[in-house]
Amino acid sequence: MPPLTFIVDPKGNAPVYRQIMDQIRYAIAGGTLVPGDQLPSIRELARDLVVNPMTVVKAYTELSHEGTVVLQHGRGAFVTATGRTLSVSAREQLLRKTLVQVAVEAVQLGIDAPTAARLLSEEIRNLKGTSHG
Amino acid sequence: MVDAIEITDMHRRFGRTEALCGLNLHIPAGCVYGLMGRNGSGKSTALRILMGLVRPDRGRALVLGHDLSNATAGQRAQVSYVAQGQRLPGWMTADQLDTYCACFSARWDQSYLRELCRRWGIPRGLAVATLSGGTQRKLALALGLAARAQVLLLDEPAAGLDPVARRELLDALVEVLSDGRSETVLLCTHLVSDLERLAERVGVIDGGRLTLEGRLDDWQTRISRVQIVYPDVAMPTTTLLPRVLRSQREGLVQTAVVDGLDATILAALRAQPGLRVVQSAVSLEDIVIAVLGPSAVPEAAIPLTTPAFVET
Repeated sequence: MPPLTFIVDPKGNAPVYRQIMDQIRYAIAGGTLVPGDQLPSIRELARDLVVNPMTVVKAYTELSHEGTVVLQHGRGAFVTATGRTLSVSAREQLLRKTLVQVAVEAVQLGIDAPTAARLLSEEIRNLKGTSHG
Repeated sequence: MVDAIEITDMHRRFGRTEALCGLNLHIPAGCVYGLMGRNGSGKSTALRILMGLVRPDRGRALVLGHDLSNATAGQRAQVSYVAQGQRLPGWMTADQLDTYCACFSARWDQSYLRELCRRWGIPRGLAVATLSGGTQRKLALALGLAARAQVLLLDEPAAGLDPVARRELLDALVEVLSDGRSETVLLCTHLVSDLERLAERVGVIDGGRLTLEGRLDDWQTRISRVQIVYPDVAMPTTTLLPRVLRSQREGLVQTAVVDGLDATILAALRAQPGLRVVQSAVSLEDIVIAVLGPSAVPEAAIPLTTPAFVET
């Protein structure tokens, strides 16, 4: 299992289970986690983060519903080929939810759509650049 | 399925003080529930009534369907109560307390107590008075757990402990929850940051009744702080905000803690000419202070009305 550091802030912007999900998704997008990798056990992660294990259970369950991980009874949680079990339109719907917040900030900062799109492309290129293979 | 804890319309007065006035609290089995409130808000009284130590003036308190003021030993054994600042007899050792407590508990699990003492570094042969505050508190918790009860009532378990000891107690609670057990835990504490890590549901008790309650992750998703800067002092405060928990306007600046400020409403606010709007996260502590503090909006809160556009 690759070394993974999770940092959650219980006071933070989002519920802890959401922060855990985001960090796992980010690790997958960046290549730190690849299909087949096993996630830390619920007990281990709860202890490391000092949070209610139900929070970890919720994060893993939601990730399994969206197809990002698969839960194997008695063995643990494993990374799937990212989002393969979700249709293209379903994946786009998930991304759109995050993009609404980005759009609001862009408007507030006076950044136009083409510039925002360029920034997004750069960020995606940066991420892909750090993944192996 | 019967709720683990059921408090209905509870009233209790001590002399001229109304400790509880119409408290309603229902906690489903298996839930970790965080109850917050100021000193004297009625939390400890509610726990004592639940345990059958104090009689309510009116209302009903049931644990797993039973009234503990009038219950069998077997029914009582289903609940374990670790009281606030639980003072264990200084001269006794953990082993002696083990033998002593076993007499009062129908389901006493000695091997579990020994396991917890080993895990948490609690010496079993030393007098309690020689142990540090943090270790004593962990021992009190271990004794509470060894009763193998289905419902655990913890009243300020970490009060007065230094940050390191507090974190050790928190680690201990996380471990207990990870043991794959399914107890119901009612945790009363001022240490709101601990609840952010542990609680599934939370409630705020104020003036002897529950004023706000819900799932912690719902609150974290839905409740936020918003700061609005108006172009001039005369401009009236916006009516666009959804459910407002607290709001303060000082000159040009309004600061509010709100429930349900989503992207649509935010966009509508920002579309108002001259308004500068910043939304930020709130911690659980901020929410509790907002609800209990001086600029709190009472329950009949400002409803969402149609936007009043200002023509320039």
